[in-house]
Amino acid sequence: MSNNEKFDLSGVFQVQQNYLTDLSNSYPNVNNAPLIARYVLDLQDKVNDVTQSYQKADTSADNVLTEQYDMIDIIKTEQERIDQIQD
Amino acid sequence: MEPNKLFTYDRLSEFVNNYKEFVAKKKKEEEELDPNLNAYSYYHFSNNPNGIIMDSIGRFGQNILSSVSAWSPMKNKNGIDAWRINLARGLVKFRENEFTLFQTNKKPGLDFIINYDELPIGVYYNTPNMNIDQEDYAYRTSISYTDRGSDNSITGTSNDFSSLQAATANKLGLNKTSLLYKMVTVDWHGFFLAPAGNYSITCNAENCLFYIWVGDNAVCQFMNDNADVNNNTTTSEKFFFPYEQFRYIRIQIYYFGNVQEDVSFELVFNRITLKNKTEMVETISFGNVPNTESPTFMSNQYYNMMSGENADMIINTPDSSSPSSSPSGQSFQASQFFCNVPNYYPLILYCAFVSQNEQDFLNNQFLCYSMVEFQNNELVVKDYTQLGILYQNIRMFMTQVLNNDYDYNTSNRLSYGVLPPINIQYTIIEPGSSNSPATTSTPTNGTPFAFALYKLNSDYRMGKIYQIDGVLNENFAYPMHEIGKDFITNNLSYADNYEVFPGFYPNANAIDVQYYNKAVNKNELECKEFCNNSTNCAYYFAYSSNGTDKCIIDTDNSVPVFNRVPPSNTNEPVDKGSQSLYLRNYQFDLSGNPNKECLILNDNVQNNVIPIVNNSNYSDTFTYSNYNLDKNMKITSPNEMGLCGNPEYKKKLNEAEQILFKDTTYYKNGTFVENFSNAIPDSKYTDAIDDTSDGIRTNLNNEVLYAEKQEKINKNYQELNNLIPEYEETRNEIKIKEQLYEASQIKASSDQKGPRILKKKIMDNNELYLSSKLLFTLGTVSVTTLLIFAIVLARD
Repeated sequence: MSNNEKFDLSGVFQVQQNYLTDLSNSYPNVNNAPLIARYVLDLQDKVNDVTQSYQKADTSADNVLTEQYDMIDIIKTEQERIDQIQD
Repeated sequence: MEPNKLFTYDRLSEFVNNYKEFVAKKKKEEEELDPNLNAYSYYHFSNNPNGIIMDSIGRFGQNILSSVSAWSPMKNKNGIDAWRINLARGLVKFRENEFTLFQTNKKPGLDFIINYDELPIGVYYNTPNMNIDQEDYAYRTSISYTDRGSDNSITGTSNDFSSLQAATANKLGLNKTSLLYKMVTVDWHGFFLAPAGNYSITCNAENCLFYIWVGDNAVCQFMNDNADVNNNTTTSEKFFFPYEQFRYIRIQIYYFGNVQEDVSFELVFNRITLKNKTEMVETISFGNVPNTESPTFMSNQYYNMMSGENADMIINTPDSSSPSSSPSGQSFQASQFFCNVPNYYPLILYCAFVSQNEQDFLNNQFLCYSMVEFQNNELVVKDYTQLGILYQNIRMFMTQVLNNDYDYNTSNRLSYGVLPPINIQYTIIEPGSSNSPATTSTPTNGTPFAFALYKLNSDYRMGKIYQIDGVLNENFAYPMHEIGKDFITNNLSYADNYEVFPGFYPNANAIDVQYYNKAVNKNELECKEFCNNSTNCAYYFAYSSNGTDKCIIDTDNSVPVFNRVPPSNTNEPVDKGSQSLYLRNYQFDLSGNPNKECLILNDNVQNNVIPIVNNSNYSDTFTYSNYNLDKNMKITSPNEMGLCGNPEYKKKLNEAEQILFKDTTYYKNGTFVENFSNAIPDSKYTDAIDDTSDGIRTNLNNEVLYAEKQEKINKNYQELNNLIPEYEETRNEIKIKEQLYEASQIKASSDQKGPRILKKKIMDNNELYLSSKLLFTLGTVSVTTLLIFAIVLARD
């Protein structure tokens, strides 16, 4: 199913996982704090990117769902009508 | 979908931006440094003779020194170079202990003695004009005499030199009659204790003669021609204190008693600093006079050093040099400079080398006379009371010594000799004498006719490793920080490169036949390889013996004695001029070091190691000859090295830790307060790590929600996939049925392409109507016909 190129979440979760792993490895040496801060900020940027991607994807999904529900409703109504005609 | 606000983002982002700017700034500083300098360099100030200062004082008749019971030879005999190294190394440690001793026992103020000496009857006004040394007043003034009358030798303590009365604690005699025809002399002595920095002393005085000595000369070598301040030079040259230390100070004034009312006397201290590219002088006065600060001229030396890009490189922040080194400010008083330590004297390490007999001399074995001895490998003063007497004796006979009165013995032979390779004087015990202590009546009994006295001093840095900052601080000095011993043991390793010291011999016992296996036949390169392959080799000697290359390596991580006297009586003598000592450098390996980022930023990193070079240059030609030591701040871990230990960097480190790990209340607009609060609903009590974790979890939750929607979309899609064909099927069925009713003519006359249900009904009705109508017509016609036919039949 096409998403009309509105969102692409591929690899995002792996990136998050990698950062979490790096972060946990850095914890024992707090003297790396400025470096960790840079990692964490980088991670926060990624998190924000993912959040925005989710928001866009969520909007797209909502629109698709709405249209799907409308379509189902129309078809079901018409089906009922022609069923009555047929009877 | 859950909202995902990262409350810590703004603060974290601001910190990271600042940190990047800081790093960029440090990189720029490194680039702008003089090519010969590094932001941080590491030097091992090796134990070698260059770090030892030997000043010849002169030849003292043995009675001068031997009357001091503690003046005796130290245990054992040794070569003079070995004595020098051992004493110098011991003295470095002694200085540390001495500083602690003085800090513990110091009392405020300088001790003083007031003396009144009779003068011939006459009229004495204005400033005395006399040759103090000729009259020996400088010495007489410095000691207490009990035979001058009850009003003589008045002692006291003062730390206020704003006036003569204040400096003498108001103990000066005020009886004008008793002061007539008296020479009044005052001697102040004690310690000048100052933090690291440049200082000068100004004496404002009238109608008196004054002298000020600062340093070793003030103890017992104070002469009128070596005073730092006098009537002709009222402001001293700069005294540079590389670190906080006690320096002896002696102040003397002389005036005629009958003009005492006209005598004025005041001391002022100046501290010279560098602030905002300007040389400043802070005047530190006594009493309630506030300190003042004003700019002075800019010396060419520093102007050149500061010109161009490097002009911004001067560190003015106190935390970048010695934290305790700034006495600036209203609270610092000149009186704080002065202190005394009762019952203790500063150790001026006077020593003399004596050969006991000819055989010892040939074997390079000398006695070393001094006031110290080694106890448990630590240098200690034998007796402080005796030390005071020795100083008094030295000063008492300085004039005679300077006149070379003891250079020839009673047989008119030169009383001393000089060891050619090292140019050190020695004396010999006179033939036939015994070792019994000499007395004033038998001045040459048992000891040499005279002692060739030396003052030995060692550089405080000797034997230690320092990190040197390549940027001058406010004291015009390069800050140095000692690397702690544990750090050295745990983190430093030997490098494969060496500093060469030509001319130094291995010890005789290393090349003697009984230790023959210590010397092996290898050339210099092979010897270096030999040492490189040993983990306990701190140095090696390479030389030739009878033309054969020889090699001796250290096997015990030891320190060489830096012997410059050729070993004698060896089976394999060292060929003259072939010998060299190679001292192994250290290095700090960065492989796998977690602090690599801040270490490589400004440190002189080469091949992933920071080199630590052996330095034997203790002179002014050394690149970092002006230095400041902060003895309270040793580098004990890699976290304190280089930029990692920079106070500014540490501040950023702490800030990063706070942001990352300390919970704080953050608000939606990015502000924060460092306490817990849940009163405001749009705030979050968190830290960057937890906040980020929350953000990730929220995203993961959103992933679940999003997946659910995707499943619904799929489900709807499947449902539509079912509904639509079903609908199409039904519709097709209807369509087929509709085709059965389709009338082509109607269809042809219709504007519509296909039949419509309503039209079809109309058409059906119309067809029905037409059929019915036709049927009715036909019926009517039939009835009429039948009626007519019946009537016809009936008439017939």
